[in-house]
Amino acid sequence: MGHALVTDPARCTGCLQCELACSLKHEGVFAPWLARVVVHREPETCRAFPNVCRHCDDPPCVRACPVGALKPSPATGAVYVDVVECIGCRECLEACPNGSISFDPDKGVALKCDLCNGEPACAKVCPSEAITMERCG
Amino acid sequence: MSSGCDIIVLRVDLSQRCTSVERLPLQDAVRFLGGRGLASRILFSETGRGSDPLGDEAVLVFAPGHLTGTCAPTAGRTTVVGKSPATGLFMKSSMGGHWGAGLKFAGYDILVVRGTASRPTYLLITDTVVQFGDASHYWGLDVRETSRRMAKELAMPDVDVACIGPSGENNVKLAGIMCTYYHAAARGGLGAALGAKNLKAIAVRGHTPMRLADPARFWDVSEQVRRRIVATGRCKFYGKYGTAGVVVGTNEMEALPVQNFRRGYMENAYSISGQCLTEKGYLVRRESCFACPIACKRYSAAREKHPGSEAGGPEYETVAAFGAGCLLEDMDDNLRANELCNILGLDSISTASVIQWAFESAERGVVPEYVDDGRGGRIRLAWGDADAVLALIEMIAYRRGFGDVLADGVRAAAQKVGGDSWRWAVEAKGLEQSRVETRMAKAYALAFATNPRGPDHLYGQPMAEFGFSPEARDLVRRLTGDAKYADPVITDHKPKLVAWHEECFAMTDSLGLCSRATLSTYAITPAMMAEMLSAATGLEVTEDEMHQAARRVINLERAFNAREGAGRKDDRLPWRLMHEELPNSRGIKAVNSEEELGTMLDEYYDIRGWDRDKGIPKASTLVSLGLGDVASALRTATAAREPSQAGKP
Ligand code: SF4
Ligand code: SF4
Ligand code: SF4
Repeated sequence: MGHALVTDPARCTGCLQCELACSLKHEGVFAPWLARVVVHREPETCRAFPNVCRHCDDPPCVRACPVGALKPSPATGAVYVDVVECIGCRECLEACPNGSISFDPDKGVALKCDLCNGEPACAKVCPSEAITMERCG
Repeated sequence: MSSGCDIIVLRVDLSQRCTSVERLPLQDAVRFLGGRGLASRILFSETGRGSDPLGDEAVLVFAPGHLTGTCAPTAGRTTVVGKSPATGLFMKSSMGGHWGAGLKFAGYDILVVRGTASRPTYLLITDTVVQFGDASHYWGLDVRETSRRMAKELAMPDVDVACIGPSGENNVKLAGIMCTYYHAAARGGLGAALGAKNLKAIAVRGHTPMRLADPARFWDVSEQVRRRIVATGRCKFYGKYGTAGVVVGTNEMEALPVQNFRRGYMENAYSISGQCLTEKGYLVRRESCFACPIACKRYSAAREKHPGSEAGGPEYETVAAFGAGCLLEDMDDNLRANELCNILGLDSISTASVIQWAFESAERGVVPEYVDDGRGGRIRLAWGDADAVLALIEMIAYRRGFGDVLADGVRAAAQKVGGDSWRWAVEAKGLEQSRVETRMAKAYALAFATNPRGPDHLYGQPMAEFGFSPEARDLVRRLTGDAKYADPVITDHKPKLVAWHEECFAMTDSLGLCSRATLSTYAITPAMMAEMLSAATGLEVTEDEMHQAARRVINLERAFNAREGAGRKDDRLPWRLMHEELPNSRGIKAVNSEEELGTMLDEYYDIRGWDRDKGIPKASTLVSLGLGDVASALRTATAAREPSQAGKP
């Protein structure tokens, strides 16, 4: 289906609107550490790097999951975590070459971008176009 | 914690090395609007008349906004409230960055600090601990080094640190509190108050989610606010050029305070402007405070002089103060001055102000041309001398040589030096004026005079009087009935404008929003703030109720000063602005005067329900706002101050 999020760290201002939007949408609370997009900030130099799933072709995370908890969504093709099946083994965190999967220690499940059913909240709220949605094909 | 339940106040007593937690009902967030309002309430109730701002009894309240930690656009700010070591009066000073959100995620809405630690101490506040740490090895370090080392030694790369630099440790009354490296609660010497408590730093970090009463409604209104910000031209301007972008336009209006407010115009203002910063390659990155879509913050590096000098900023106030005020026309010099103020923890407005006063005093022969630098050398006090300015900044922070004369602020410096030097000490209430020309802007003149912190723009910022944007003209029309009153040189209806702006500012601070969004651009309106607060708390609040709550806060803060004996006599502007005309090419008689200010004050006090002669809240006004206890406290204080009056014939 060819949806992907593209990041441009040079534009990111570290406002964390993306993390706030993602955590509200998926967890119903403001908790940036539960967001599927992670912004690494270096406040001393005011640099910030957004990191979000690239939605690889032939995703290593899917291959790594021992229980098949990572599944392509029928709507967008984006791989999401089926939290009922996820056993919290963190194999996918290891497998992802971009470090784009995080973990919710309270629920014991992987946190991964599901592209918000094709309407990515993070790209919508990012004021700097540091995260944008690309549609190809 | 969190916007939808009880308000959680963490109290720390440094003398006893103990902490306690208090819960306030959520209704208080509506009655006092949250952060700043509640902090002012705490300050009023928990300190007495005549308390020493540097003593054991001094209370400092750190109050992120009620919406800080949420996605409410720009809501990342924290207000620090206390008694000012510089003025001896009420002070609130606000900082951006990420610290406020850090405190919220640690599980606390408000932090109250009292007492004095027996040795240098830092606080670590997380959702599992409140820890008193030994800060002896941080004492003497600058802000950047302190923040860097704490993150490393605590093994918490994401910890957010608020701290003081050497200036705060040395009780310099121009010292601010810095957070997230370069964000400053700069004004009023609150850094000195922290230093007197032996409290070097407060580190915060946590993983407690912010829960709201109605997340879906909150998301909708936040989206509406975000879209409005993105569509507002002035917001784009600040994103592109930062606050220093305002230098050029202010200069064109001949309202840029040049050379200690002697002139309003300089030839090469571009060289110190945000446009120059962006266009000539000094700007390294744009930065945002927590949750802010405007991103007016900068990170800049010097290009030719001062190799390796880089830091957050500079802001309008800093380049206006050093560039236009001290006549440093080279951007590199401004960047180095900015970096020094940041890392030494100094308020750049006040620091540059005392330096300008020193230059003028030397020029007029009140102080010698060469002064002791405290290291066996001498520096020459001369306008535009970058070496002197940079040396003086450090001398002030460490109270070295002549720097010690300047370190208590310009009012004290003029008292120490004597002669006529008080005439060019551009201060009122003991606070150095921010870089705003009030002689050609009458609402600003009134707002600066009535500001309980002293003459600056961060209590009521009546920008609308310039009618610079469609949003500004609309507001003036709505408040006065006609957009023609959006004219800075007239006094008509200005008290009305000032009252509205002060109220809007109280809402802004208390919710944790940025005045860049609510006042400098009018992108966020009080109606939107009411909607956000309602969605967050689940308590329905109207725009009118927001204004009423803001009046409650303003009256409390005014009452704090009234209890100290301040009133109408203190609602003044610096002598220079009241007595010396600002030269300008338009042939306008640009000066502030007793008559002009007197008329506006009468009308302003009437609007506020304050006594015209004394300039303090009437008991009936306080009672009608539900502040009966404040009215009694004021009555007791007045009786104590004037014991003999009653018996006199
Ligand atoms: S989580 Fe990592 S490996 Fe999996 S699709 Fe995304 S980027 Fe690829
Ligand atoms: S697309 Fe949605 S799920 Fe993915 S990071 Fe952005 S907000 Fe989170
Ligand atoms: S919303 Fe955009 S600018 Fe803000 S932190 Fe996320 S990626 Fe960076």
